[in-house]
Amino acid sequence: MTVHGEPPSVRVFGVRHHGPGSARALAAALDRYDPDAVLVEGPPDADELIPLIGAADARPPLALMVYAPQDPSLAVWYPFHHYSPEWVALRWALGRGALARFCDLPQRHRLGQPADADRSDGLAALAAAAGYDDADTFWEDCFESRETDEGLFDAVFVAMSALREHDLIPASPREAQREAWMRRVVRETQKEGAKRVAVVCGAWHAPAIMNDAARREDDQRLKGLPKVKVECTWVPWSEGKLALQSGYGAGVKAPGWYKHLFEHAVDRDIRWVGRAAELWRTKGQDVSPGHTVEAVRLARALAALRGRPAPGLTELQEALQATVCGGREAPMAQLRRALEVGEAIGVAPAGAPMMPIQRDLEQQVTRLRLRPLREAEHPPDLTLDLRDELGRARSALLRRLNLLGAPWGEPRDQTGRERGSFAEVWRLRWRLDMPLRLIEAAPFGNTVAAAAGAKAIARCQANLELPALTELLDEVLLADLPEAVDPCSPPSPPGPRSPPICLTCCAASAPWPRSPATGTCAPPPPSGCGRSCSPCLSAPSWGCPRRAGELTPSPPSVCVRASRPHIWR
Amino acid sequence: MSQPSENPSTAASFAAPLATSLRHHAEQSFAEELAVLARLDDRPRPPGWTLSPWAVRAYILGGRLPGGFEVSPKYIGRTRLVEIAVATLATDRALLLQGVPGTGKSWLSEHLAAAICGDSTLIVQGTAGTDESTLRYGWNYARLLAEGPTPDAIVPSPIMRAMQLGRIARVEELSRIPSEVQDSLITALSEKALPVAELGVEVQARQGFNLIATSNDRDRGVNEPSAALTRRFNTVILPLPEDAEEEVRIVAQRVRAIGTALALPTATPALAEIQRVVTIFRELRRGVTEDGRTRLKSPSGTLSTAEMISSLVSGMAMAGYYGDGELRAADLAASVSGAILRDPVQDSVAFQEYLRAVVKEREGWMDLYRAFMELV
Repeated sequence: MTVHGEPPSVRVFGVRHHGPGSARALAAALDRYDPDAVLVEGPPDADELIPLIGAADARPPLALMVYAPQDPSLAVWYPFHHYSPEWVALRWALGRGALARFCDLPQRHRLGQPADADRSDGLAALAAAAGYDDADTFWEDCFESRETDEGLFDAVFVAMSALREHDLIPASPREAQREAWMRRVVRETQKEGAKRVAVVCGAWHAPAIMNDAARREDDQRLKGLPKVKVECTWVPWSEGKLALQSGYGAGVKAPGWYKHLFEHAVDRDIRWVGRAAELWRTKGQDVSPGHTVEAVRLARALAALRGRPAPGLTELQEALQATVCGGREAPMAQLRRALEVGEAIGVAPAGAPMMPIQRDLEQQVTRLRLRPLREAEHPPDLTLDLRDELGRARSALLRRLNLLGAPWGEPRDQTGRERGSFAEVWRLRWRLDMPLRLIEAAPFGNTVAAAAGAKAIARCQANLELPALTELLDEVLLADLPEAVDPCSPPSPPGPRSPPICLTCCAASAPWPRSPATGTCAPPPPSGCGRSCSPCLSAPSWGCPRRAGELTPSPPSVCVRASRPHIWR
Repeated sequence: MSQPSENPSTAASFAAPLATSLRHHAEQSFAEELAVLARLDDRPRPPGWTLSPWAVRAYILGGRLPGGFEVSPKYIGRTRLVEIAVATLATDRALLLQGVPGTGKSWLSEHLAAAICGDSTLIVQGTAGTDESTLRYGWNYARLLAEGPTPDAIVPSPIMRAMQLGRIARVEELSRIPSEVQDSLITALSEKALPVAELGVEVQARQGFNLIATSNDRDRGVNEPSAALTRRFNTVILPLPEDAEEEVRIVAQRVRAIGTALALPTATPALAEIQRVVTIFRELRRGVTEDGRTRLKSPSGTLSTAEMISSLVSGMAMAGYYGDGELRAADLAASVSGAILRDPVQDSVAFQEYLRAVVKEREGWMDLYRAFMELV
């Protein structure tokens, strides 16, 4: 395989997905090996999207989303973070101008197939053999805490070869196909003229890729694979969701801790305790330097007692609980979310393929100055003042998203100072499947407004019951979709007893805004409507659709809150 | 300062000889295990410790040593808590064990002291009447008046003795001690020295000195330790056993041990019997039946593991001395209901509801039901 003195033509770097020690070691190893081509374990359907991550505006955590346009519920995400070895490898390749490619079995052959049990984490068996009951702890102790990176990948290779030889876990046909594809990509890259090929894949697969003997059966294995059309794009991801099932099957229990390990090579325990103390001080709990000193000492003693080279997350957690929290569990929960899991959401590169509706949403978010709220995982509640344009526009956007089935937030009950019919309080939570839901809604229109209207019309034509229909009409009016009001209004009852319209109240005194759709508009005729309502009730009732179409549904500047519609007899 | 004797409880002539004493100290009951562990232990020992922290951990959690010797587990529960306790003491920090009564705080404190320094007798029992002389030092007034303040006239407290000998001092029920007296521990813990103002000297602690304190958090009349004092401790909260299996194990082990020690003429009750008692206590404590279907009212007592053990032991005593040597429902009924019914009015209502709703309906529990109904 290698000529003495020359670097090998193919080197496999077996990594732990999302392992910060792997990432750091990988960067150094790639610098030394200097390959022409870097192949990363991932879906080749997304090869064209790799250059986008070199852009300055791509900020992890990001995920590569692969979905079937025919059926958007079939989707798979490949998350990346700063400390993912795959991310480090791709960025290295883009920085040096080397060829960067994905080499796993494409999702067009895999999506929709029943997933088989993932056994690529052979570390669990190794950890058990070494006397650890947790693969994460074992990896951290053996590989993350190493001072030097020499021989790390060779050691991993040898370990995994030993495990595979003894066949401790039964193989699955899907895995054989994946490894066959990876070998094929390596051969093709070499044929194209790459002299040194670096393959970055899960540690388990490393021995298989170097296994030349299996190449004859590769073509046989890769015949007759099912095919489905897929699209790919980059979507923002959150640190909190890194624990979810992903295309790798590897979850991360404490992404914040891994990020910490990646960022700091020395004094990790001291810095972690320092960050915890800082966090607690902002929440009002007194944490003195004496507490932090004692916490670090206890963590180190615990690590020594358990035979670990350095305190890990469990030792630090227990030490903090015993010293700072006085043994209580409750303050640790605050730490868990903020530090151990993390609260950032990534930003997808601007060049990522997007449906027109997604682009429209991004433009509206920028125009309405909602971007900071979009990028935090748990932003504070948003209070809207509906008396001004910006507040109304934001409210309309949020309600339209709700209509589309891609909710961003939900309205809350008003509390405290902002009481009044002109105020709305929204709790916003950016859901990570928002791009997917927008893609599902894309057939309805190219902008959020158009799609929401079309979807509302489609819903009401599905023969809704009267209560549901009136609720839908309410939502449509609040979302400021004039073209959908007409079709959504229930049919008028026949006869002269058609109730008159009382679309808003105090019609005589309230100034009516001009509606851009209909030009001028007139207050409703007060015939039959002897009742005077309070300014806070605007009661869209039905009766003559013709009338409803005449009048502007957008609320006048004074009374803005639509309530349940009344039936006027 | 007069040379303190090594172990006053056995040195003085009025102590009972070992064979007839009612309850042995941990270092006496488990002397063999400690000796074997000391012989096989080759890990580094902190100064003043008779065993290394790993050996202390093995002693408390139990296990099989190389060579085949079986060490019995002393604390059955979360092993991580024991590790935190041992690591705390190894780093010269004082340990505070908290928890509801009956979770094994004093038990764990005794065994830790026995394993670490071979002496668990340096105890201060905290009460509402504890004063400074119990924590620091007192005076032998006859000598004081005769000779004036001299080192020989001082009566050292267990804490001072522990400092002089380099052993573990134990303070039980820290939160019962009045606050101003608690604070006299602060200097002892932070500077590891006890100044004797009258003589102008101070007693500095030898290496190996440490303090284990226990306190209840559910009690009437507790004096919460001040923030300065709490900061001197690492706190470990011992939980009630979550798992029924674990609780049965603890109870079975302790009942067997106590039954043997008291030489009760009853055989250790069958596991099924112990499980019944454990189930009753757990269901009442948690307020819901084991299968989660029926909600129950909880009585006001803590219904802890210790109470289960003592009710079983007294049931065995009843069976042995008043019955035919086999533990039956009638023997259990009195002690179990005694443990459950603390408040005469409310608890009996809750208990009767429990009897009617759960005990009566259960298969094979009719004997217990009848026995209880006779009493209640």
